[in-house]
Amino acid sequence: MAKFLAKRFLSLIFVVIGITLIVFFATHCLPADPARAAAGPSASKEQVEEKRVELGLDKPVYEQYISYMKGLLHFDMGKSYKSKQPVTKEISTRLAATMELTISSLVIFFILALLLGSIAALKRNKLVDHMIRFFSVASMAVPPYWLALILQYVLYYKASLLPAGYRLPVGVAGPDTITGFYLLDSALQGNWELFFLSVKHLVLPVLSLVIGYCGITTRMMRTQLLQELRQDYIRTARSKGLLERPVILRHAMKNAISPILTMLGMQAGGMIGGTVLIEKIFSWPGLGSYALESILSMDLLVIAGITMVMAIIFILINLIVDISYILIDPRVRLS
Amino acid sequence: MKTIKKYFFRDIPSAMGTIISLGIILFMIIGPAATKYDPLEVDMGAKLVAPGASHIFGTDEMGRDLFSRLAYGSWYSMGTALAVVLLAAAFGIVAGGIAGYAGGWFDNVLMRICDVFLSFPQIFLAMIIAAAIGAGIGPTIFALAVSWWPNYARMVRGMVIVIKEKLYVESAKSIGMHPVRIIFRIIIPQTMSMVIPQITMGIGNALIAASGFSFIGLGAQMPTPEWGAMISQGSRYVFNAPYYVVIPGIFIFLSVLGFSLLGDSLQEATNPELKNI
Repeated sequence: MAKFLAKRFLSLIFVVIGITLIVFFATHCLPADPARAAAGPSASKEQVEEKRVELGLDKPVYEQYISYMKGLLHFDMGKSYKSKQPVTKEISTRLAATMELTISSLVIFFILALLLGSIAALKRNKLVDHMIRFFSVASMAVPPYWLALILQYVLYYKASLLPAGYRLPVGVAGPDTITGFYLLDSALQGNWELFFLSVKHLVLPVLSLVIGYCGITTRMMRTQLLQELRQDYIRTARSKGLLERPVILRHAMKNAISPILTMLGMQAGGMIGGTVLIEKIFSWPGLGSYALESILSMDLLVIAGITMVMAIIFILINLIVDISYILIDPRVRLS
Repeated sequence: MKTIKKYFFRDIPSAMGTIISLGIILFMIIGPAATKYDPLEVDMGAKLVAPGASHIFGTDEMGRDLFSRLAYGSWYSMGTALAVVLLAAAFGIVAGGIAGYAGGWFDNVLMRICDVFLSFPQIFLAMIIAAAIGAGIGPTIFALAVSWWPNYARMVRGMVIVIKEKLYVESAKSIGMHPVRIIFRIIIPQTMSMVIPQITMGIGNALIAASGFSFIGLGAQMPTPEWGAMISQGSRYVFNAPYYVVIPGIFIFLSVLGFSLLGDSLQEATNPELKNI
């Protein structure tokens, strides 16, 4: 295990360096001029040049990269051109909002995909199987951002059941920050009113992400479980008189889940990306909507910072998936 | 006839996929001819007219006919999606083919590069590229292709490693065939049975991703009638003119559905052992 982890961390370092290279050079070798964007459209040529020196953009790119990497070692990602605040600070105030959205979606998505996939496999070729299979194909084809707009129209505008956006109603202060997750913080502080308000605000964005992404995993769960149920060990278990329920839950499900976990890790990337669009639609004050803002205003260091944080979160999720894979399924060799 | 049935009408989903995909292609060809409206023509007297006799899909906030915009826009939307998968596949096939055949350090380096590209949530990589070279359809195609090629490279490499051990490759080597010819004339054609279904399915994903780009303002710009850009514009009027958002979305949904089902069907026909995965 230790050897595996060490190996994974080594390759992780390699990947992170690769990411910094791509992000940095893509954002710093662009034809568009960030100094011009930072100085404002009405600035004179001299003012733009001044800005360029101030931001260090006049130095050769490799020098800029080295000083950026030096900063990165101290968790310093430079300052936002726009707000003049350190990028790490800007990111940390928004990270919790995005993580709350992503983690809630991932948890619900996983449970839903597992449940629907298993039901479909166990009721193979029955009506409910066909319905679930149709749902999963449709879910893969529906653009998540479009679904979000439709849900907003139906559940907020027509039915007035749920709020249209934000983490809490305008004017309501969030809970005191412990983790930054509103659900967790309000629950820890025993403020249940605030807790339910936060839940209500989470429903629509989470639903949009979950429906848009769970199709493929549902389908895979169905296939995996069907395959496992055909294996010899299941026949043995059944023939020695075990009840159907433990056979399915303890034997077949356990083995079917491992590949689904890998899938979950890969899907997490799509979902993190999906938050960009969903956050925009629901005015969710997270990293996705911030990334979009920064791209439109050419705030390079912020874009670089957010991309790196997102990539690292994605890698960590996959690392956790790999580790849990080994813990669940001893057949996996640690090579 | 039997072949057509095997590839395109295997079962109900496969037939649905074929019919929907054909419908979309027909719409692309006939749609622009069937409408009398110019997709860019502004008519301030007919703002946000609901679907009806004069405009079957209604009009947008500038009085432009939505049917006409959808019909002309299909070329932008489908064209973008197709360009993304073809570019990504072409680059992926070449890179994966060479890496798989050559092995050694080249293979190692290329696979590590793929790791790096695949560890980005793709939309962020694409957003950076769009930020770097600007918004628009061209940058969208480039950005998405850059973030997608590793998927194809990995798949092709995996297949090439298996195929290159085959006897007919050995004999090609022994008669002194140039490695480049071996890769592209003998090995790569063998991988097409996997690659073509993947490309077909990829069209749907590319369509969702590219229209999403337009939706956040990084892809096609108004007044280009691209479907995602239309939804983005329509989202401002979603509460009083829901059809403006709903209809383009249904077109995206149907196109993605059609091409994914068709891709599945081709996959099952060419690689029956992969059924249901």
